[in-house]
Amino acid sequence: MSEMLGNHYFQLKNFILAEDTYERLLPAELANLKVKRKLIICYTQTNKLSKALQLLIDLIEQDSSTIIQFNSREEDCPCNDLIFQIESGIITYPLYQDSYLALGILWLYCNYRTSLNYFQMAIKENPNNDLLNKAFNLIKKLSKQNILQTN
Amino acid sequence: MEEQRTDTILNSLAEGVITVDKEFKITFINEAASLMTGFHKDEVIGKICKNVFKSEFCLENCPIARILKFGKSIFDFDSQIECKDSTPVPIRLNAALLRDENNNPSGGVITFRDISILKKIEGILNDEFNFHGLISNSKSMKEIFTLVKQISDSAAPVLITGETGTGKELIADAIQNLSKRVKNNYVKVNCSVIPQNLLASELFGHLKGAFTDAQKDRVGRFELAHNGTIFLDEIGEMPLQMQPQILRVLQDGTFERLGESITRSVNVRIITATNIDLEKTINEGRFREDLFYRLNVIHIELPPLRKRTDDIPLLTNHFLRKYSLIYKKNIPHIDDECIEHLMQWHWPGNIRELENAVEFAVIRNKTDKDLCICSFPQKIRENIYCDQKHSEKLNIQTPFENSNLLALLNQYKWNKTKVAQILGVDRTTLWRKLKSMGIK
Repeated sequence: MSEMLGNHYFQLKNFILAEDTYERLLPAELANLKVKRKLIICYTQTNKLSKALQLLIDLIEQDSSTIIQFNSREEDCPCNDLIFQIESGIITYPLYQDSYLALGILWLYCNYRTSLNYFQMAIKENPNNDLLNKAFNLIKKLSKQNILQTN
Repeated sequence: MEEQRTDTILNSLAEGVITVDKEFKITFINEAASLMTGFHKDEVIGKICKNVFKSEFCLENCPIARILKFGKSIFDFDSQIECKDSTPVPIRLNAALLRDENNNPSGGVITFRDISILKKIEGILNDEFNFHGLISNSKSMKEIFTLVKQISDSAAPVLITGETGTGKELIADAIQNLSKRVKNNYVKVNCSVIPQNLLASELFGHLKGAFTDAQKDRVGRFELAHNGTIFLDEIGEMPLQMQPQILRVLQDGTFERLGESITRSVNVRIITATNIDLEKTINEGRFREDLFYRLNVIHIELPPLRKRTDDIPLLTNHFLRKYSLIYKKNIPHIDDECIEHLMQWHWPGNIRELENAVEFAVIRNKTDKDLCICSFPQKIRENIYCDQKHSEKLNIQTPFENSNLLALLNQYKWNKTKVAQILGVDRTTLWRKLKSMGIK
């Protein structure tokens, strides 16, 4: 399994195969932030939102610049397209809080303000989720430091 | 410095070269690729390959991804890319992975060439009068095409007869292509080319030490063709002493390798062809009658071109289109008088001769007007000349012609007789010219 093959599946938007490839790769590539960034997106599409959230927290704690320096247009990121599909109901989740969380994560790659709004909505639906609160606080902290920008 | 040297080497290639990193972002494009696609390197470096070239295979069938999945480099894979002006260009590509110091894939390299002309030629070959490369609209040939379709699936031996240049091998190919054996081996043997003392070893194989030069075991052509088809061309040239062995394979599919006592069995369909009259050779005692009847289960006799002159306009136009493309000429048609004259010629070399004549005329024609008889070889046009100066007088003395001459020699694999014939000069003249150019 190679990162390059995972990238191919990711570009094909075959998130199940991309997730599988990246997951197999990750134990040997813990410092590979690009793989983590893409795996988070895969998790939002395979409805493994807790895993996505945990990995997002790891990523921000490991190196917040991965999010800061991310240019979704240059990286051919599927987030814009996925956001459109979730917001217009083409992609659906069993619970509202899952939709809000997926949108919060995906918007983080594009616009942190909208991302924070969706995180707030997710917390409102599920206030006792520790991971959710932790992620929200981390993003808020980054935004206060004016580190995050609108990509 | 090293990088600059590599760039210079890659830029000197006629093939397009593109490299991508592991994110499929373009990291290099050589000058040939820029020329073919219209994209300057500054426009594409750092961009994701699929978003630039938009090949129909970019997604599911990305060649680099195929290597990642199956572990094998790709050779001669036909695809299509989109140029800067959105024009699709058919390409034939090779692809390989680039690896880092840990042997992990770190990118890929694709080399490709434009095959537009090849595709156009294929288009010509695929038109309505084309039956597996045989061009005809005549009743006699259409009957043969129907027969070929009817008999292709059977395993019965086929004997194809006809004068030289009538397309016997193409008929054999068509039978194979239409048969259920199409995916199995198809072995061709020209019986007149192999020395008589080696023919048995070539056809049936031998054991190490079976004769002086047999240094290792060798599998014969019949074994190679097992479950497939063997095409024995020029069967009339088969030595008399070999014929019983062929008869035995035909009858019960068995034979022995030279120097071996084990009897081997094969399931092979046998197609044979000849341009000589086998019944005459039987009377002369050079061909076994029983073998003839065994081979002659399905007999296909190809008519000579002089007996299907109606096909001459069709064939001539077909070859005109083909060679106009190859030689990048814009010759619209062949004029009517020329066609009439070609229909009167007796064509002893049949379609092969006609094809060579049209190729010669296309090379000689220097205008974009219809092809005139004056461009054809002298033996065909006889004493007909015209004053319209359609043809370039071939003069291989001028320095300008040197490169053309070399290109022509390369094209015909340095067959000087053929090139001399195309140039309309004597072989000795060509030899003198090459000598003056310092070529031995």
